[in-house]
Amino acid sequence: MNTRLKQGKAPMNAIDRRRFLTISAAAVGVAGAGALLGRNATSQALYRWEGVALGTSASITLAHPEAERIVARARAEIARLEGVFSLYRADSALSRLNAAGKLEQPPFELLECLSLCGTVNAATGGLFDPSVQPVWRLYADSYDLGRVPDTAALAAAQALVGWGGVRMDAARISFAEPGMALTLNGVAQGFIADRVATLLASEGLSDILVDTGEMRALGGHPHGGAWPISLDVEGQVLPNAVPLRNLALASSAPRGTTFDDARTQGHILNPATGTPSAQPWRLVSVTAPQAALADALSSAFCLMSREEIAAALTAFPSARLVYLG
Amino acid sequence: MPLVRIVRGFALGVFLAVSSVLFALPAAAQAEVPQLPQFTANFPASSLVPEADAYGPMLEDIPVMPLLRAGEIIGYAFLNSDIVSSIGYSSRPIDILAAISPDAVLMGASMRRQSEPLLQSGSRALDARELVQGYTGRDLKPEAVPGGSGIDRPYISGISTSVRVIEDSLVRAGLKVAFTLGLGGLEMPARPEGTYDRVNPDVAAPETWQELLDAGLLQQLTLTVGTVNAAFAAPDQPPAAAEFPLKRAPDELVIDLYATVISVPGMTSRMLREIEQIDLATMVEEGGSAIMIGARGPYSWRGTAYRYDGQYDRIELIQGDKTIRFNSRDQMSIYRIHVEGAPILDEIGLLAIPAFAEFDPTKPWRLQLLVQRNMGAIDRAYLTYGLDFALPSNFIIPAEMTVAQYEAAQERAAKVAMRDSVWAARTPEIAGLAAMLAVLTAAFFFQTYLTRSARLTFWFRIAYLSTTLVFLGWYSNAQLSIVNLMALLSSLRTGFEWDTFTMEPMTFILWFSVAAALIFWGRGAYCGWLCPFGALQELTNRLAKLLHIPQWTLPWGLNERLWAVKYIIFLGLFGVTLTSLDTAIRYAEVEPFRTAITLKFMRAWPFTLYLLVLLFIGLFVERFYCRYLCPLGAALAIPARIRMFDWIKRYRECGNPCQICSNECMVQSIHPTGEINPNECLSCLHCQVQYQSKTVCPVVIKQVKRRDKIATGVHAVSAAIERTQFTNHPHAVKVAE
Ligand code: SF4
Ligand code: SF4
Repeated sequence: MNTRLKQGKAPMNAIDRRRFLTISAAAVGVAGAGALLGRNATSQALYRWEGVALGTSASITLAHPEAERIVARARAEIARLEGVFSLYRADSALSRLNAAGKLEQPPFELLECLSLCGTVNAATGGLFDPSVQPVWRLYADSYDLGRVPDTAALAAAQALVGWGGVRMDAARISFAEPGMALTLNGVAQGFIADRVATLLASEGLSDILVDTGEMRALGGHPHGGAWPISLDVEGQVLPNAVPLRNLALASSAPRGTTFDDARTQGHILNPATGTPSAQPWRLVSVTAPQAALADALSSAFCLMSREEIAAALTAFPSARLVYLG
Repeated sequence: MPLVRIVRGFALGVFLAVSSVLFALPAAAQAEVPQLPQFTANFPASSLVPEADAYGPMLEDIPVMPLLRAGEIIGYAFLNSDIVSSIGYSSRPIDILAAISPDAVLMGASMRRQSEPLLQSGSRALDARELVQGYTGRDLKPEAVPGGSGIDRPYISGISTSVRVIEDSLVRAGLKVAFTLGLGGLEMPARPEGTYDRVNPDVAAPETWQELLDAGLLQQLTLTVGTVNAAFAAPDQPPAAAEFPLKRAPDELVIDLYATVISVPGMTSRMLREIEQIDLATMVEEGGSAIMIGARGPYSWRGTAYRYDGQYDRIELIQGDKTIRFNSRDQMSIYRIHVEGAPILDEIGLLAIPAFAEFDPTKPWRLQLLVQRNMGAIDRAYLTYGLDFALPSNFIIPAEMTVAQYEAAQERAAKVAMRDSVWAARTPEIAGLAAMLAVLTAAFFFQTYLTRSARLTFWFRIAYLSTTLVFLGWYSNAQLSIVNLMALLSSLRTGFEWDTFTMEPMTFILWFSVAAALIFWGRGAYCGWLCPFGALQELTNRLAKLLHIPQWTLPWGLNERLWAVKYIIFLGLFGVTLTSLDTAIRYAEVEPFRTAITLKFMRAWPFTLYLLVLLFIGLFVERFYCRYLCPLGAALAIPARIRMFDWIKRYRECGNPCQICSNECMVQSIHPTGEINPNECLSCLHCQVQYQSKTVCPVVIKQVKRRDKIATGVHAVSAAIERTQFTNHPHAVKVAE
């Protein structure tokens, strides 16, 4: 289950990062798509769906007699939200916004997510900024062709970065400058986990683990206790490092995926400088009540020192830094 | 004899062992994988349609490959058997690669694989290739209407089944491709009723507001100042949001919203006045739906933006992976809901959902309400709240079957229709066969009477065999073949279906009768009487005898050993069938039946030569092929020991010392020791004539004499026995003693 996605060069716009989190093998055992696992005859067997959400492997684990039907509904929701957030899909709301510079009648989820982005942006002194996309794109395109980004181009792209240039209300989202673009790769996975969890909770369900790259636990493990989550720090696994119950966990590894083959240009860019993170962190893990918040914070913390992180966390009393190193 | 026993035992053992393996295999092993790529790999696109130069990758929703010319799609290639059933006369699919144009005209068709006995290469009866190529240019559009174009092929005895299956499978497969891809303006017929859940139009909704809420026919979302303020103060909200709280009492309403699917008939008639019902009916298009949203409280679900652009930007409907937004042009307002206990609502809208949105009122949906808070001039914070609605199950007529089940049923119906038409076309032949079977059954049951007269028995047999050869064989093509058994065997592995074997009525009825006869009498009923090729051999041999062509009686030991050959051939074919039925069918040409019976000698010379050689030998050695080579005879012989009656009667003296029957049995199936080998006996009844003969059978003669008390009878007996001195028999010496 310790799936590792391709390391090294990042494909364009891919949310292609390594999986840092695993549910401990002891708790779930070997699981394939739809594998039924049971601890004993009396308790409902665990059901685990494994698939893809926003280009990253995703899973839903639960114990329920109608697990398949429930998962089918959750998958429809994931598919719907991919239609909002995916940068792979040219017809997604986000892609249309980036292409046209504005979007009428934005989906509510996009408004909500951007609203959260604004919050984290303010709390991190601008270090979390989805509008860094033009720079990100330049890096990805250049290294794709095996080149280092051109300085002039970099400066031009950097000039387009700025959260203040994003205008939105329920009728329309628009950019102040043509060429501006957003990436929600640092938050959308968490956001989807939250939405799936909300959907399942509205069905009266509990004790479900939604993993869309970030994790959201609804209740605890069906067989008792919290969901035991292991962390993977550059290949070194910390077993059962984070117990998860009604909580979300997000992790980021700045060098987990790099633009270049030499593995020096990490994929998390500093929106202030337009360069990869200068911080030494290998893995940053944050828990919060919502996966979207945890996701955004863990992305931002990759660019921050321990002191800066501590300062930022004061704005989010319910969030915790569970791993930094 | 020991050798034969061993072989026989071996054969049966292997048969049982292999069958048990077959039955143990899951039936699901059926090849559901489209075979199109396999066939196109060996057949260039330009051979199918001259203008094409390549195949494109196979489509996802139907096994079809685009035909390309310089990268442009000019048509679509498909394999008929991938799409519909094309089981023919042989109980095997007829595989035809075909191409259809964007205008639903067949652009080319090529027979790729078939095992139809009448469509064999080198046959002059019908050129399969020409037949199939003749479909080029056939427009399928007229076939899409019920009743089709009415084009039907002329009825040709025996060939008709194959021809009809070709026609039927090509047209139906082509149509299905056209429907799925929308070729020639053809559209998928509307999804048939019964394959999806429907709203039950006849269920009435309860009468009061509260009952409607309790039943889940109305769903409610209530937001108070307290809940909204708390939500905007959550940590994932902009810190500024908390600085602009609603400044009213926490338990005061922000919005109290109700929603339902108003287009469900039970709800329409409960909630709306007649005039409103008419307006709703005008607003909702065929296949569309409408929901009702009614709310009170200061927060408007309509918002204000719709006044400029018509869009409601505070509500959206989510179902599955679809999001549906609403427009003020497709809505109507009402001011009161005339239901007992209904609250006074400020804003009630009936919102139409167009058919193309594919909203399904029987499936759960969620209404999302966007709540926004202005923070200063431009900054806003957002929250969404959801209201979940699921139509109560008593309002839903559940689907009776899935689409797949429906399609399977359609496919079955088509097969049955096909079969019925073939059976109807062959009614006279079926009647003839039934009469023959009745006559034969009577002859067997009353054999004692029949065989009293040697002349009657002889002429009855000649007449019957002639009928078998001419009517069953040459006219009706009702020649059973080992291929039938091999098809059955392989179908046990891939999923047995009756339909596969009932397509050809004569073969089916004959097999059924043979199976029944095996239980009662053994192999003889078929081999001795109903096999056209058997009849051909026997009749030609009769003529030979008439012309005094010398007959060669094989030495017993050789005869016995040669018996084994047919079992070996049978087992060989059996083994090959397990690996590849197609290969086995090629090897099954060891049977000369197709050449002799179905194609009436009109075939490529190697086949005809082989047949003539067999018949030639048969002139000297009666039933040479049946006795030593026929794999079908072997297959029928194997279960011979299970027959219920030992109806060929014997005396204690048969074989010891009398050898009369043993010498005269045309297939040398009577052991010199007297017992009849049921695996070889063809039930010709000859020995039963002897058994009763007052002039031939020594036992009868003795009885007659004893009865007549004629003393000289003793001499008659010994004279009779002397006549039987059987020179090459191992017991001959003993008998002589
Ligand atoms: S042995 Fe074969 S050819 Fe002879 S009668 Fe039987 S089935 Fe026909
Ligand atoms: S003569 Fe008798 S034993 Fe021989 S085939 Fe005929 S019925 Fe059978």
